[in-house]
Amino acid sequence: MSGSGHHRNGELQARVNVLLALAEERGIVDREEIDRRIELLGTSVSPLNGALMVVRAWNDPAYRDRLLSDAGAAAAELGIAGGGYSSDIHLHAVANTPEVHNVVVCTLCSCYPLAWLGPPPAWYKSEAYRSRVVRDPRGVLAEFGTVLPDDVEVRVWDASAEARYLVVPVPPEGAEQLSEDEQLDLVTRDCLIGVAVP
Amino acid sequence: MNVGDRVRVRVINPPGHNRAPSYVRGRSGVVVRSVGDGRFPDEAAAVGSGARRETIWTVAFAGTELWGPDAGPRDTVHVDLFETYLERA
Repeated sequence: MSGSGHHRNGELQARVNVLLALAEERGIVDREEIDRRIELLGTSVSPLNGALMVVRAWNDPAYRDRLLSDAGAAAAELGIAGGGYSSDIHLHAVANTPEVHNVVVCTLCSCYPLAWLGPPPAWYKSEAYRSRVVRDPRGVLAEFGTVLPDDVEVRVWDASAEARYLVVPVPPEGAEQLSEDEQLDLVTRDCLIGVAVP
Repeated sequence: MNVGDRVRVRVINPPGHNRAPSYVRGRSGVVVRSVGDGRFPDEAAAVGSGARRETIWTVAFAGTELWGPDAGPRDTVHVDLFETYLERA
């Protein structure tokens, strides 16, 4: 299997190279712009951005309100610009509460708040996750170690258009006594997707 | 169309690109949010940036509406859908 997978990757890469060369030749893309975006993804965007937003929301109710009403602007407030996307793509934050748990998926492809959080984990793009989390969210969450009480409502957000979703988890008990750095450590990428809780 | 409306996803199977996930076609839900607008993808796939813009709505579907009685009674799936995909239920 790994041999054929490798072959397939090679084939795909060759196709990408041909398409890229053609697009460049016709002035559709600019190689420097592509390099700039790849550089951006590798350096300035990471799940830490989302964690910074969540921790600020935990400690500042007014920021939390702004985050939930316009997450893109709330990100920009912290110097997190996003970017690399078309202006049609907007970030939206959904808040967990003791009664509601949110989890994010893209069933059609692998839409993810990449411009703010960096590239998604491989499992997020897998057919298994994409097809199962809408059908049996509690079962999938339990496999991630997140077992929810029966009376909690589970909201799955299928990002199939222009919005990208970010989950704002509930701070664990005692979080208010921690330093901001310690709080940041609690908010993992998986918490921001909604498959884990801090 | 507005937040609070009960809507159904049209049953459509166009030959080209389409952004209405098949598991919600024919299913009813409630509009919970306006996402803003975007280029209608069915058209954008064919003509690019000249495609018309259209409002996108987040529709909440009960798990049981999508998957039947075995679904979690407190599970919902929220799906972003272009207005063309929706009709009033």
